[in-house]
Amino acid sequence: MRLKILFLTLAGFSIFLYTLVARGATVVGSKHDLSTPSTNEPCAFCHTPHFANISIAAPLWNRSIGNVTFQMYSSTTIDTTIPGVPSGVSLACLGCHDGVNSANDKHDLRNAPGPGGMPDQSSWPNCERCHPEYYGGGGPVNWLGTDLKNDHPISMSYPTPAQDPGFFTPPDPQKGWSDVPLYNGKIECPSCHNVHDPSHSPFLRISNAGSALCYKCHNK
Amino acid sequence: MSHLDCFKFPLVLFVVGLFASPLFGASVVGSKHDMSAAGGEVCVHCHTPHFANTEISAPLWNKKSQNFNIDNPKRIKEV
Repeated sequence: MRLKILFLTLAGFSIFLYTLVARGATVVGSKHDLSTPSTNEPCAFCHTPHFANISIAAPLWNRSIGNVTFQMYSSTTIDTTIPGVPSGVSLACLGCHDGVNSANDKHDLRNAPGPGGMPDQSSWPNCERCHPEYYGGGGPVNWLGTDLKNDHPISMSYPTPAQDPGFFTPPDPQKGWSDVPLYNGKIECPSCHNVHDPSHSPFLRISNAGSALCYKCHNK
Repeated sequence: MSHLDCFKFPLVLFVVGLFASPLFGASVVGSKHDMSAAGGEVCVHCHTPHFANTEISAPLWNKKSQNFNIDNPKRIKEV
């Protein structure tokens, strides 16, 4: 009997661990997993250990971004300066989410997976990840387009308390919070989005219950 | 004023002050403009991080444009 209880407790704990680590916090199986049975390397669709694109500030980036012009957010009440172009790691996101297939930046990888390489445009099943509307999977992916005027500003420096007291002060002015990071002191797409973890849809850094993600920065 | 009252008065002032501080007072949370259900999102009833309505010059506005009747501001029509 004792052994049985111990076994059941251990089994329950293992299932709990599996749910916690192996299932939730991974890109595998998420909308960002573009792998297929024939090209079964989930990481390769964004990263490569060699020949990476160093012009984009995302780790070992395996994609390019076309020469597109973005229109940036503006506001008469903002107290920090929004740059004219997106920068940093946000360019990695926009490489896909601008929705512009310029110079085949959507379909071609820098260094394709597998020996000899296989461009991901030939692995047709992953079309569904970005074009679910053709597979009965609901609306299209969140293409932001090149007009970012209706999107939360990115690539601008986080305001200092002197610039705008309507913002909370991060513990590290360069790196932000441990769960909501800044990038060289700037807000970028991954400040709010954790591209590797679908636990809080749509790939949010933390749950937005009670607008907790908004209130990380905004003191309103 | 007894010795005890002398001690109590600043304490009460401090507690009242705490509630009036930005931590409590200066937030939309709990105000008439907080349209969230318990535990729901507060900001989204007016703002959105993506696909905002740029026809209205309020930051990242999450509502449709409206036809205001100047004579009767209560009569607001969604278009």
